Amino acid sequence: MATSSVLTAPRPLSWPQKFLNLLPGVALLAIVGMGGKLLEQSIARYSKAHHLVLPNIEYVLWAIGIGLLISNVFGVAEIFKPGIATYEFWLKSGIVLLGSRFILADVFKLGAVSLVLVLVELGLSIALMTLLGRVFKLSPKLTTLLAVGSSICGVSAIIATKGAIDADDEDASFAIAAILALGALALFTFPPIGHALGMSDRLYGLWAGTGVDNTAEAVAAGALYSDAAAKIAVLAKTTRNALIGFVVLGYALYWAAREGRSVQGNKAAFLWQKFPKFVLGFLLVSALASVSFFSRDQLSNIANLSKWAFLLTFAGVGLKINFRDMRKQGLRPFLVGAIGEVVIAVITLGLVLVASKVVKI
Amino acid sequence: MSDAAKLNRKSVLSLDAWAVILALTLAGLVRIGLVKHITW
Repeated sequence: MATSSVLTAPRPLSWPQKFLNLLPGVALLAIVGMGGKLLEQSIARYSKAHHLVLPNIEYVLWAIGIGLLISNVFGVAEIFKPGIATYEFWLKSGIVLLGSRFILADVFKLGAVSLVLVLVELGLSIALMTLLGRVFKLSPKLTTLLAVGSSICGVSAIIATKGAIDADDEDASFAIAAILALGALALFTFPPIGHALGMSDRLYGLWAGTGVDNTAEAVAAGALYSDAAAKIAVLAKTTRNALIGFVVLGYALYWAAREGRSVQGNKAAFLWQKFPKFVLGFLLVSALASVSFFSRDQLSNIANLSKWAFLLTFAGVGLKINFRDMRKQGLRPFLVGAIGEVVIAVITLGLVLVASKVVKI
Repeated sequence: MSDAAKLNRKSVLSLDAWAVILALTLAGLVRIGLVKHITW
């Protein structure tokens, strides 16, 4: 789904038409998200009223589950697709608003720890994916896309690299499908592992932010654990996203040299172009919160707005996963992605646990 | 093209920029008291 629709160019529309086109899908995101929230609350109320001990399933999982059900059982009608694609917009808005929950000093401290972890993870995952790509005889460009997708930030990184190294649409579709499928898998495996290991919110958040590839899934995996874990997962993932330009530039230079071309243009401008600008918004809101620009009540209002934005994101995560489309992409890229991701998840878990012994997290 | 890039096609500002604008506008409205009592 993400793959086939992603690669088709839409026809140009006027601004009001574009806006109207978004409404049905955004409304569906809101209905699915609210449905998840209401289900969680209703079950909690029911179990309390009837003195039952029912498992507390978080609204995040309900929203993703309802989305998955709609997408895979009923299918998503075309009219909803443009609006559903806005989930990434809500995700980024939510991250910027979440900046209000961080004091800048905390951002730099945890950001520095995340940066070290991310740099180690980056080197290891690129090396591992390159090796697996060779063993499974994937095309070198598909291997590059999988390596970038698993080391930096999933789909956005794959798209950025696809253009920079001139890879095929088909390779990009394979890599995106593998990363999305594995992101979905992480949602259901990371929280139970975190609980089984008795990880603190901060440690788990750091692990989710460094181990899960796509930003939306990383935030969802954090939120499935706790609000505090989601906060840390966002910070770690944002640090990882900030490095996208360097990795894409590195691969662009590598492929240009390999194909006897030269990379045109200013490298600093290239880095700036690829830099995720919402990170600056996140830092600005965090800086404002640090100098007490907002009162306590206002901070709480802003944090709640961020939760509403994330609710739409989580609904979108479920709605965009279509297992039938993923199956069409073939087994080998998925297998390479799966082996790589499991190893990377274990390595990042080890790194986070070691870091917690060295630095007070 | 990613969902984000597709959405953002032919737009003057990037998706990131729009997300920052929306978030800062909301934070600004909260700051001046026009948006309050946001519950969860």
